[in-house]
Amino acid sequence: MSRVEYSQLVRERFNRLAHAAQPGEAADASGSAGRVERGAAVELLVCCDGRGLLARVRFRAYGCPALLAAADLAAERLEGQPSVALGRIDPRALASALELPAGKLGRVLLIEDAGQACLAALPQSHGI
Amino acid sequence: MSDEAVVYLDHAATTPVAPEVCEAMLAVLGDPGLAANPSSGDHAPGRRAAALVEQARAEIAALIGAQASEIVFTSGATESDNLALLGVARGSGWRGRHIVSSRTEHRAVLDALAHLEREGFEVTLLDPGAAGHVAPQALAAALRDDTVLVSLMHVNNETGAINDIGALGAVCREAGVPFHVDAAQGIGKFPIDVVAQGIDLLSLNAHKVHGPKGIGALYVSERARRRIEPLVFGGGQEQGLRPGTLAPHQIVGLARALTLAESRRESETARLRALRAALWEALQGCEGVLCNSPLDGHGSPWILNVCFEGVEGESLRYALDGLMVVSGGSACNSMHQEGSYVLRSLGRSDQQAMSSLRFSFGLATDAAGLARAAAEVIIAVRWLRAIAPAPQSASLRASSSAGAVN
Repeated sequence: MSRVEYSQLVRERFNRLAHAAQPGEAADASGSAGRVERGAAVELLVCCDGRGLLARVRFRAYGCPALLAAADLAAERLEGQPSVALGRIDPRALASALELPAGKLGRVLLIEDAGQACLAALPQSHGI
Repeated sequence: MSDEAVVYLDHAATTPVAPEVCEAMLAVLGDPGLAANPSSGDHAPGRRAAALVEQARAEIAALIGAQASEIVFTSGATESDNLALLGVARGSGWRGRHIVSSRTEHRAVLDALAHLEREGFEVTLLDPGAAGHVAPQALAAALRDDTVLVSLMHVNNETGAINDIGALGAVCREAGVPFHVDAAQGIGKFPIDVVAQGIDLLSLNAHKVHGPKGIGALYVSERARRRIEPLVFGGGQEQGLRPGTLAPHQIVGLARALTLAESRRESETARLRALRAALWEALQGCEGVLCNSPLDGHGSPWILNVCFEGVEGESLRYALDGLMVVSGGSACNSMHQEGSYVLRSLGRSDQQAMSSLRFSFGLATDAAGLARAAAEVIIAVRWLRAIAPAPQSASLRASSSAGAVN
């Protein structure tokens, strides 16, 4: 039904999206990229522990299955990392891990932008 | 989930072959006495095969009020459309080089027209507007002294909007311009009488009405016959208009499918109209839905097209994949997104067009399947909305309106 063929990795992650934010999700900081009106948007929401590590990372996303799956994977990989990892999200690594079609990389770049926006919004007290 | 649990709601794309059609085709394929070339009139097996073909031709002609000699077999509606448009345009010679059609035609027509434009023809595309069907007055206003052909679809393949082909045909007849109708979504579902409705060329196929793929026909009136040129050459079959060895089993399948559809037309129309209304009512349980199909008499009971605002279309279809078979807008392959040109012509935004699903029905469609489909769609829509960031524009935030385009 979808005209783009996705890997089983995307299918499995899309079906769960375990790191999708709950309604009213609390966060120490959040960062967004893209616009729903333009067809793709991502928001990352993070909570840090006392050591400056990302204790909980969640996302909200509007877009194609590739973007949703990649946002979920990015959130999973960020958890437990130092907060500066928000500024080092590698969209190519996400695309590769999910075996995304080449044309979908543009969407995944939004996650990198959202991570940097989130890092910029994180208070100094959280280990930056 | 097993395939048996998948609800098939993409009958406007194609339909499963009916058992009666399959049986009729197998009877031809399995009979060595019918294996000869129907053009081989020198021997009895060839004449038997030809008799089958001619019987099917007569049955099809009778269903649309035509003469058997006016039916030309093709590979399907796309080829029929191309033969009608390119054939009549090129064969009209000194009469002119202007053609009238509409913006919401199938690609088989629009792409053929684009090709004719490259050959120097001038094409006027009428705008059906929000209602989705062409007004006879708009057609009359578009006709010129040098107009050589009008081509309009009977039923829109995306929305189910029905053109009043009788009224449009009357305009063409008054002006003396040949009228082509793409009836791929209308044949077997609505009464067609080519004489009464002023139709000169009619494209039809089998696979939208539980017949086989790969077979169709073009009705060519005597008047149009004088103007139409073939697109391919060799062999002389089909009065030289569409040469090539005929496929008796396919042709028998076409005739059987159309005959069955006609015999079930009235009961299926009533049954599916009720089912479509029930599906639309159920889907309105999900906020922010817009109906892209006319829900009154101008809409086909076989099609319901619905926009789910605030949901990205590709993800919606992906979420439903494996649960049901429905059709939607274009997938996004890059940062550039473009929704259906048909839905945009109705006034929908790109995003609304991308967030639309077409549910289309057939013989196997039942209330239980539709109820299950509606429930799954609502779950998927609510889930995708729940994980989406808030839109920044006021219009999207307030996307809870529900309404019908009619």
